[in-house]
Amino acid sequence: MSSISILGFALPATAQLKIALSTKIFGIGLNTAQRICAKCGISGSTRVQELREPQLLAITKYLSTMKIDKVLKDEINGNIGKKIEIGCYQGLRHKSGFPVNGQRTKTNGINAKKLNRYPRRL
Amino acid sequence: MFSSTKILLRATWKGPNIVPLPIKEALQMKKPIRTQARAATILPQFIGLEFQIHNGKEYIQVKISEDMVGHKLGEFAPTRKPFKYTQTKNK
Repeated sequence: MSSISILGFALPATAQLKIALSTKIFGIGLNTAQRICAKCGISGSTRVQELREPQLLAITKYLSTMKIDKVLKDEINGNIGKKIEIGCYQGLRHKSGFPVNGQRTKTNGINAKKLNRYPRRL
Repeated sequence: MFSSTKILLRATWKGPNIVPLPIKEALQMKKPIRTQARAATILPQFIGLEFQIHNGKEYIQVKISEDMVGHKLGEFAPTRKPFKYTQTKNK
Protein backbone atom coordinates (compact mmCIF):
# COMPACT_ATOMS: atom_id res chain seq x y z
CA MET A 1 0.00 0.00 0.00
CA SER A 2 1.43 3.35 -0.99
CA SER A 3 1.62 6.22 1.46
CA ILE A 4 2.20 9.97 1.42
CA SER A 5 4.43 11.49 4.08
CA ILE A 6 3.62 14.70 5.94
CA LEU A 7 6.26 15.85 8.43
CA GLY A 8 7.66 12.30 8.44
CA PHE A 9 4.32 10.64 9.22
CA ALA A 10 3.32 8.07 6.59
CA LEU A 11 -0.36 8.62 5.83
CA PRO A 12 -2.05 5.82 3.86
CA ALA A 13 -2.89 7.11 0.36
CA THR A 14 -6.40 5.69 0.09
CA ALA A 15 -7.64 6.78 3.54
CA GLN A 16 -9.78 9.81 4.26
CA LEU A 17 -7.70 12.76 5.46
CA LYS A 18 -9.36 13.13 8.89
CA ILE A 19 -9.03 9.39 9.56
CA ALA A 20 -5.41 9.32 8.38
CA LEU A 21 -4.42 12.26 10.59
CA SER A 22 -6.20 10.96 13.68
CA THR A 23 -4.90 7.39 13.44
CA LYS A 24 -1.29 7.99 12.43
CA ILE A 25 -0.25 11.00 14.52
CA PHE A 26 0.03 10.91 18.32
CA GLY A 27 -1.77 13.86 19.87
CA ILE A 28 -4.42 14.24 17.18
CA GLY A 29 -7.84 12.68 17.58
CA LEU A 30 -10.80 12.76 15.27
CA ASN A 31 -12.03 16.06 16.69
CA THR A 32 -8.69 17.84 16.25
CA ALA A 33 -8.23 16.30 12.80
CA GLN A 34 -11.57 17.71 11.66
CA ARG A 35 -10.59 21.11 13.05
CA ILE A 36 -7.28 21.02 11.13
CA CYS A 37 -9.14 20.17 7.91
CA ALA A 38 -11.55 23.05 8.46
CA LYS A 39 -8.76 25.55 9.21
CA CYS A 40 -6.93 24.55 6.01
CA GLY A 41 -10.12 24.73 3.98
CA ILE A 42 -10.17 21.06 2.99
CA SER A 43 -13.03 18.59 3.36
CA GLY A 44 -12.12 15.91 5.88
CA SER A 45 -13.48 13.15 3.67
CA THR A 46 -11.08 13.77 0.77
CA ARG A 47 -8.65 10.92 0.17
CA VAL A 48 -5.00 11.58 0.99
CA GLN A 49 -3.91 10.79 -2.59
CA GLU A 50 -6.30 13.40 -3.99
CA LEU A 51 -4.65 16.28 -2.07
CA ARG A 52 -2.90 18.92 -4.14
CA GLU A 53 0.47 20.48 -3.37
CA PRO A 54 -0.75 23.75 -1.71
CA GLN A 55 -3.18 21.78 0.45
CA LEU A 56 -0.35 19.51 1.66
CA LEU A 57 1.74 22.58 2.43
CA ALA A 58 -1.12 24.14 4.39
CA ILE A 59 -1.49 21.02 6.53
CA THR A 60 2.25 20.76 7.21
CA LYS A 61 2.32 24.43 8.14
CA TYR A 62 -0.53 23.97 10.60
CA LEU A 63 0.91 20.78 12.08
CA SER A 64 4.32 22.34 12.66
CA THR A 65 2.75 24.89 15.04
CA MET A 66 1.12 22.14 17.14
CA LYS A 67 2.49 20.02 19.99
CA ILE A 68 2.44 16.51 18.54
CA ASP A 69 4.23 13.17 18.79
CA LYS A 70 7.70 13.41 20.34
CA VAL A 71 7.34 16.91 21.79
CA LEU A 72 4.06 15.97 23.44
CA LYS A 73 5.40 12.64 24.75
CA ASP A 74 8.44 14.37 26.24
CA GLU A 75 6.21 16.92 27.93
CA ILE A 76 3.97 14.26 29.49
CA ASN A 77 6.96 12.29 30.79
CA GLY A 78 8.64 15.49 31.96
CA ASN A 79 5.60 16.53 34.00
CA ILE A 80 5.44 13.13 35.70
CA GLY A 81 9.20 13.14 36.27
CA LYS A 82 9.03 16.53 37.95
CA LYS A 83 6.38 15.29 40.38
CA ILE A 84 8.50 12.26 41.24
CA GLU A 85 11.61 14.41 41.67
CA ILE A 86 10.06 16.82 44.19
CA GLY A 87 8.59 13.88 46.11
CA CYS A 88 4.99 15.02 46.41
CA TYR A 89 2.17 12.57 47.02
CA GLN A 90 1.21 12.26 43.33
CA GLY A 91 4.84 11.55 42.49
CA LEU A 92 5.02 8.76 45.06
CA ARG A 93 1.87 7.20 43.59
CA HIS A 94 3.28 7.41 40.08
CA LYS A 95 6.54 5.87 41.26
CA SER A 96 4.86 2.87 42.87
CA GLY A 97 2.35 2.41 40.02
CA PHE A 98 -0.83 3.07 41.99
CA PRO A 99 -3.87 5.23 41.13
CA VAL A 100 -2.87 8.87 41.50
CA ASN A 101 -6.12 10.74 42.09
CA GLY A 102 -7.41 9.00 45.20
CA GLN A 103 -9.14 5.98 43.65
CA ARG A 104 -9.55 2.77 45.63
CA THR A 105 -6.86 0.09 45.57
CA LYS A 106 -8.64 -2.77 47.37
CA THR A 107 -9.96 -3.81 43.98
CA ASN A 108 -9.37 -2.39 40.49
CA GLY A 109 -6.38 -0.16 39.76
CA ILE A 110 -5.27 -2.51 36.98
CA ASN A 111 -5.09 0.29 34.44
CA ALA A 112 -2.98 2.37 36.80
CA LYS A 113 -0.56 -0.53 37.22
CA LYS A 114 -0.19 -0.65 33.45
CA LEU A 115 -0.07 3.06 32.72
CA ASN A 116 1.30 4.92 35.73
CA ARG A 117 4.81 3.51 35.41
CA TYR A 118 7.59 5.97 34.75
CA PRO A 119 8.82 6.52 32.04
CA ARG A 120 5.42 6.04 30.50
CA ARG A 121 5.24 4.05 27.29
CA LEU A 122 3.13 6.08 24.90
CA MET B 1 -10.35 21.90 25.98
CA PHE B 2 -9.85 20.34 29.45
CA SER B 3 -12.56 22.26 31.25
CA SER B 4 -13.00 19.79 34.12
CA THR B 5 -9.50 20.37 35.52
CA LYS B 6 -10.09 24.09 35.56
CA ILE B 7 -13.41 23.75 37.36
CA LEU B 8 -11.86 21.60 40.08
CA LEU B 9 -9.24 24.23 40.91
CA ARG B 10 -9.58 26.57 43.88
CA ALA B 11 -11.60 29.73 43.25
CA THR B 12 -9.29 32.53 42.11
CA TRP B 13 -10.92 35.25 44.20
CA LYS B 14 -9.78 33.41 47.35
CA GLY B 15 -6.10 33.53 46.38
CA PRO B 16 -3.64 31.00 47.81
CA ASN B 17 -4.20 29.59 51.29
CA ILE B 18 -1.91 31.77 53.40
CA VAL B 19 -1.18 30.58 56.91
CA PRO B 20 0.82 32.76 59.34
CA LEU B 21 4.17 31.02 59.73
CA PRO B 22 7.33 32.31 61.45
CA ILE B 23 9.32 32.82 58.24
CA LYS B 24 11.36 35.83 59.44
CA GLU B 25 12.53 34.04 62.55
CA ALA B 26 13.46 30.96 60.55
CA LEU B 27 15.56 33.06 58.16
CA GLN B 28 17.45 34.69 61.05
CA MET B 29 17.88 31.63 63.27
CA LYS B 30 18.26 29.13 60.37
CA LYS B 31 16.01 26.73 62.21
CA PRO B 32 13.38 24.46 60.63
CA ILE B 33 9.76 25.56 60.99
CA ARG B 34 7.70 23.01 62.89
CA THR B 35 4.10 23.12 61.70
CA GLN B 36 0.85 21.22 61.53
CA ALA B 37 -0.61 23.41 58.78
CA ARG B 38 -0.60 20.83 56.00
CA ALA B 39 -3.08 22.83 53.92
CA ALA B 40 -0.80 25.87 53.63
CA THR B 41 0.18 26.70 50.05
CA ILE B 42 3.91 26.90 49.39
CA LEU B 43 4.77 30.49 48.46
CA PRO B 44 7.89 31.76 46.62
CA GLN B 45 9.14 33.18 49.96
CA PHE B 46 9.52 29.64 51.34
CA ILE B 47 12.25 28.59 48.87
CA GLY B 48 15.36 27.34 50.67
CA LEU B 49 13.64 27.03 54.06
CA GLU B 50 13.40 23.81 56.03
CA PHE B 51 10.00 22.65 57.24
CA GLN B 52 9.02 19.97 59.69
CA ILE B 53 5.56 18.90 58.56
CA HIS B 54 3.25 16.86 60.75
CA ASN B 55 1.93 13.66 59.19
CA GLY B 56 -0.40 12.75 62.07
CA LYS B 57 2.28 10.92 64.04
CA GLU B 58 5.67 12.56 63.60
CA TYR B 59 7.28 15.56 61.91
CA ILE B 60 8.92 14.97 58.52
CA GLN B 61 11.74 17.30 57.48
CA VAL B 62 11.45 18.73 53.96
CA LYS B 63 13.58 21.34 52.21
CA ILE B 64 11.55 23.56 49.89
CA SER B 65 12.85 23.85 46.33
CA GLU B 66 11.71 26.00 43.43
CA ASP B 67 9.54 23.34 41.80
CA MET B 68 7.43 22.89 44.94
CA VAL B 69 5.86 26.35 44.74
CA GLY B 70 2.10 26.11 44.33
CA HIS B 71 1.77 22.74 46.04
CA LYS B 72 0.51 22.28 49.60
CA LEU B 73 2.85 21.46 52.51
CA GLY B 74 0.96 18.26 53.28
CA GLU B 75 1.78 16.74 49.90
CA PHE B 76 5.36 16.22 51.06
CA ALA B 77 4.57 14.39 54.29
CA PRO B 78 2.75 11.15 53.43
CA THR B 79 0.29 10.06 56.10
CA ARG B 80 0.25 6.37 55.26
CA LYS B 81 2.99 3.79 55.49
CA PRO B 82 3.58 1.89 52.24
CA PHE B 83 2.75 -1.80 52.49
CA LYS B 84 5.72 -4.13 52.75
CA TYR B 85 5.51 -7.90 52.74
CA THR B 86 7.39 -9.51 55.62
CA GLN B 87 7.96 -13.25 55.76
CA THR B 88 6.89 -14.91 59.03
CA LYS B 89 9.66 -16.87 60.72
CA ASN B 90 7.58 -19.08 63.00
CA LYS B 91 5.01 -21.21 61.21
